[in-house]
Amino acid sequence: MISSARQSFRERLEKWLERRQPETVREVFSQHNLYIFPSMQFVGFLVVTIMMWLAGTNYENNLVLALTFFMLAIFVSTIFRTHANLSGLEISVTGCDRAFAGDKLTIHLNVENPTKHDRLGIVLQWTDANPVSLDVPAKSTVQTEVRLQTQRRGWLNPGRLRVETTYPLGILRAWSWPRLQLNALVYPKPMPAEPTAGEQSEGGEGQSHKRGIDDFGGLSEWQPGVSPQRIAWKQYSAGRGLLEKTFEAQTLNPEWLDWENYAGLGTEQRLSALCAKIIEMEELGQHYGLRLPGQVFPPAQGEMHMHRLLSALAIYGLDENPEGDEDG
Amino acid sequence: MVNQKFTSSPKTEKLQLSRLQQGWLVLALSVTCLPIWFYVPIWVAIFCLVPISWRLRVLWKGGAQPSRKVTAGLAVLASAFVLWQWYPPIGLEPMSTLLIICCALKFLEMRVIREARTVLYLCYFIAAIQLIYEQTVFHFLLAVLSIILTLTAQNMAERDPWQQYSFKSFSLFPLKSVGWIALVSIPLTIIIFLFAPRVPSFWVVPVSEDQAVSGISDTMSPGSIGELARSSKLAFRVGFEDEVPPRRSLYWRALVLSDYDGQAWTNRENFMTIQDGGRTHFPGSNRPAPEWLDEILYEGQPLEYDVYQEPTSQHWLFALAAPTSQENGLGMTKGLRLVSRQPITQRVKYSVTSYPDYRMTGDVLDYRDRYRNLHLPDEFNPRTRELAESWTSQGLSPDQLVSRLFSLFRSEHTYTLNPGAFGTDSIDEFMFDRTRGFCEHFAQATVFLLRAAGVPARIVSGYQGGELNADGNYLMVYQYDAHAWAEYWVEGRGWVHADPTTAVSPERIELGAREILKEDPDFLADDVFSLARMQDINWLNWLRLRMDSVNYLWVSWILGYDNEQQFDLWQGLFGDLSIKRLMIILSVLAVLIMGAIGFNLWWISEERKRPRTQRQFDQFRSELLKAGVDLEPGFTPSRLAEQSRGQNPNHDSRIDALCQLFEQHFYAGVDNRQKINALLKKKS
Repeated sequence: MISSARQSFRERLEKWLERRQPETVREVFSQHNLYIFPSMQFVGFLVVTIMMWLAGTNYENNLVLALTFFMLAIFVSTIFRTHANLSGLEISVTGCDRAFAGDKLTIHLNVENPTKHDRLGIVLQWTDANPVSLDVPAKSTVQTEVRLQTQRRGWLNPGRLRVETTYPLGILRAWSWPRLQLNALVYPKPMPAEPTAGEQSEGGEGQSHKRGIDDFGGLSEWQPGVSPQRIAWKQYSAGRGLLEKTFEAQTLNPEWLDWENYAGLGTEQRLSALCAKIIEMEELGQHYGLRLPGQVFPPAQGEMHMHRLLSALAIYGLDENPEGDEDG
Repeated sequence: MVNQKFTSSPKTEKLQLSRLQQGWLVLALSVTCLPIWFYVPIWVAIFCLVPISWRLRVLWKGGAQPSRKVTAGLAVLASAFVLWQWYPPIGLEPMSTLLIICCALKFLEMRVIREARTVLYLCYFIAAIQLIYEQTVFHFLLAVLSIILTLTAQNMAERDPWQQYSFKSFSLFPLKSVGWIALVSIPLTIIIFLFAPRVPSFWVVPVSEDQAVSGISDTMSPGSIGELARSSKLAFRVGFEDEVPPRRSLYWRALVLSDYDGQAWTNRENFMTIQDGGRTHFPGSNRPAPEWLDEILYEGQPLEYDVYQEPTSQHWLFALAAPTSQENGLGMTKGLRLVSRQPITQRVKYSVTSYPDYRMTGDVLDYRDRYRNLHLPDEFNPRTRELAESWTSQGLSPDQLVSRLFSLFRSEHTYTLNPGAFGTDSIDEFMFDRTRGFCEHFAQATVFLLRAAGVPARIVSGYQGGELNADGNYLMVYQYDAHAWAEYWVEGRGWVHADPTTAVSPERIELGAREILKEDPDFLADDVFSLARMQDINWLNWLRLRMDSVNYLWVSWILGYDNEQQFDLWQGLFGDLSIKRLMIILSVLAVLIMGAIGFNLWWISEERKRPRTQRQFDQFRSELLKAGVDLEPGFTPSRLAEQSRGQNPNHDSRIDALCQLFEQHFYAGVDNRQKINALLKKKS
């Protein structure tokens, strides 16, 4: 009963908020999207003020009463002051890192203060993540990041960001709930698994990648454009000139990572297994392609390629898709 | 761009305090508790200083805080001391002692910000409590300073402790920003002060009566009034409605002393309900008026005035003869005095109406009164008795006795502040041997002689005269104005006033005590540097009077502001008041205040300082956004036009023109303000 009432209140609140603060890339705080209410600390402040009033009244002491009224007036001016501490600030997302499910995903934010006053004690928090507290000096922009715990693959939707401040006195809390447009993709959790089917058909390749990085092929003349990782630094320091390490794997046929190879496993396990495989291939410097039901990614190599494939795994089978193409 | 190092902090409540935060806290705590130390026993200071210095040591030199057991032990010890000093621990002193010790111990043991807040809230309350002890301008300013410093410490507690860890990052910025909040709050404070209704006390507050305050006492021995002439402390101020009466008629009655044991004169009736031989009349009470009230005829021109009395820790008040008052808790006695139900432990104000031309029917002096006012111990002062008997045998009436005595004084006695110590037969010694004395010696001799002659007589003590401060049309009455005189009973006329000092030293009454005594080495001996001594230096005297008028304004306007004055202010401002009107006025006032503060904030806000064209452009941009145009922040006006052309079905030449004007204005340095205004108006 109560929980359903709470649920409907939540929904109505969300609807109302959606009207006031729709999804955006950049939120500018003003009286349209700022809320203010006494904080828990105000209880202490109120108790002290009431005690002062009682003392002033009982001892018929006008000066104690004057101090009591001074405290009240301070409270009223603090309402405006606390509100003004957020008003005028601009917040925007500058980028989101990628993360594997279960890891922490970092979101990069810019908090801009175009005004002439320092804004202190600003706290950013996404539901259950650790709050980030920062000061934004006048006429400046502060770059900050929030790390969010991810649970499952797909587009990360942590809900509304809570931007709040209790500065200057802590007795009032001003806050806003911007819904920032995120571009945060969570890859499946990599969990290596033995292929259950189809391994025989491509057995040759299956074995070749197992030899892995140990299969040092030999050294050849260094060409411009080769990754510094491949330079044989040991030989270089021995005065033999720049040589490139070549690997057996590179010379082999491209590896095909196939959805069908893991028949019998659940969707998520298959994705995790493929994910682990992609990372492994990339580390080996192997050319690899991916076959998913309805999607084929031709073999290639490199970080861009890896991210494209991982993204495909991340959103596999999910409908929601934020506008804008991700670029790895 | 400032690159902010990633800081992820747990809930601020559990954060450790930084050194700077603790520094501000200790400053606020010290300033707040300082005034209280003057009113509590000396051991309290030790209980405060030990925890504070311990914490400071930890702060400066490092090391561990004491465990909770140690602070708990200190708390128990302090409570034991409090119980030992005051049992039962009720009243202002034990309360403020416990408060400041609590505050200091909490300061010692606090570890996180939440605990620091407890200290802060205690500080606010202590700042207010110290004003119950003293209500001078200085103490009020000190309390305001304490509050501002505590607010600053609270402000510091709101800041991330990691960002300003050491004292090196000290700045006055927090004090400035809190000071600004305080400044903005002053108008609202004044308005609430003026208009917030005052509620009577909820319960009777216990006050200690053992504070030693100099002033006249209810026991008068030879020399006790002369002792007061050594002090230039203020006793009370009086503000008159109309003209101030001449000095010679200003006899401020405080006590009536009828009981004599051969050495000292006292008032043995130490009850609130019965004073001076009759029931005390409290105007507010529902008991019927006592009978003696019918024997006094309140006639003639009434004299209205307000008395602002300094604390005496006593019940008696100061008023001119035949006083009446409607104040709550104030009583009128049969001896034509005013008394207060509560001892006067802080500065008070009361309004009095006196009838200087009152008459007494003086029909009967009841048996008890007659006995008290005739009683003399047998064995003392035989020579004065003899004189009294010889005069009675000549058949002199009481009035004749008095004039005979006064002419004796006039011819043979001298008025002096310090006649030296007297033996057991002090009145004989004064009358015939030394013939020198101060007002109380003359008054005692008068009463003794009259009693010996069979005329009921008593001593009245209080103050005589007062210095006029022309600045504010008020009187300042000092301790050195203390005085004693006599009253004797005449059938048909009641108690008759007789001041022997008028006979021996009329200047004392006409010019005041200071003029007569200023050459006396004992006068103001306790206040060597008192400004009152230097009244002959003109500019110093001018300064002294100015300073006192400021104090008087403070006392009469701030301390004396009560329901009555509030009502007068209401009436003066809004005329007769109905509830409906009151509500309207209150809501208008509330709106005005909020509006004023809001306006103030807007006035200093950045928004106002942005160029108007910039604001117009933002407005224009948001209109396009509403029309469904896809815009990103930072688009130039020409880019805006481009986007609008593609996506806005209502796109027209006006939008193009406006965008062009904005572009030129912002980037080409062309002043297009008028054109933009014109185009924007065109639509509406």
